[in-house]
Amino acid sequence: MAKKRSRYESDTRSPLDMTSMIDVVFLLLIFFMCATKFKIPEGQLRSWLPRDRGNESTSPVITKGCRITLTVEEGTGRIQCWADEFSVPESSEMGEFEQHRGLPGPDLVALEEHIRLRKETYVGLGDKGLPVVIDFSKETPFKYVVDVLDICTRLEIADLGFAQPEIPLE
Amino acid sequence: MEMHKYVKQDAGVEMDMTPMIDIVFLLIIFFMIVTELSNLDIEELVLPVASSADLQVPAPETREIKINVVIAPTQAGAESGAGLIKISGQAYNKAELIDKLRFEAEAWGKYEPNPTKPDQQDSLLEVLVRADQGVNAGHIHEIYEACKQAKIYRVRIAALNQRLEKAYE
Repeated sequence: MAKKRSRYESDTRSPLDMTSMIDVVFLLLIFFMCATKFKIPEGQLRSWLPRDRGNESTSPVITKGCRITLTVEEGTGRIQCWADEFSVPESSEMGEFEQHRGLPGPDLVALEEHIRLRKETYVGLGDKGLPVVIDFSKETPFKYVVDVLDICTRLEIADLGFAQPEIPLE
Repeated sequence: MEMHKYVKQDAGVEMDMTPMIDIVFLLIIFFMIVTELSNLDIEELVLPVASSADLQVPAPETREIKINVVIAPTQAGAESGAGLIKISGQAYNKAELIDKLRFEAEAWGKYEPNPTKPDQQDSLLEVLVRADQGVNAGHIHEIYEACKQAKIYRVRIAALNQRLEKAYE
């Protein structure tokens, strides 16, 4: 026989109202999802160090390699760029970084064209092609070093090096 | 007069909200922790842009150290390209950086013989240089020298690829 339900049994239970808490929790969740800054995927340029220091690493050459020199003019802070003996003119376009500095950078199109011509006319005995050395003064903004590195990577320069201040041999 | 039909209240099935609330709380905790942890070894800086920079995923058996070069704070907002070399939030000078890289290379313990000097071992540890675009490039010389001293040759430079960046805008 079924037990008869008390008249007051169901009325004494006070159900907890979860609605407001769920609302708050959802708002928190949405806040954190919106506030989370997603990481921008970063690219990488490979610049492995030479492992044959002290040995002759370059193959015999008939024509000279290309040397890119970046310096900062004392006083004005202007970037001076040479590709071999060619003085790279200043760019007429001011990027975001140049506007921040208030000074134009080197004309990267002219620089790329010079390296491309050197690569095409280079005659060497090795299979690596035109050797390019990037020589920069320590005050040069890092952006311009990466710009030159970027051009060389784009032109598929295999023999690429940074001129490094002399380290005493061990 | 129309009579309202009696609907039995007890016939409905109550939804148990407890697991859903548990999951939502776990999600909140996850987002809070991830937001903090992901910034530990990456400093906030403006990377240079290089269109030829590739998105390279390090191989699972390799280990990578991120060296950040941020613009050193200057007084009264003076513009300066002087940088500060930081690894996992800690600043290092030139001598300390050599010691740190040597220690990390030894702790990792994976070497390969040098192709031209078979008696010399080169570390397989990889270094990623994340430098602000406005920082003095002389710091790169310091990092390369430290890597050379620690017999690390696998060095990469971080740069933003506009193509990749635009894809996520």
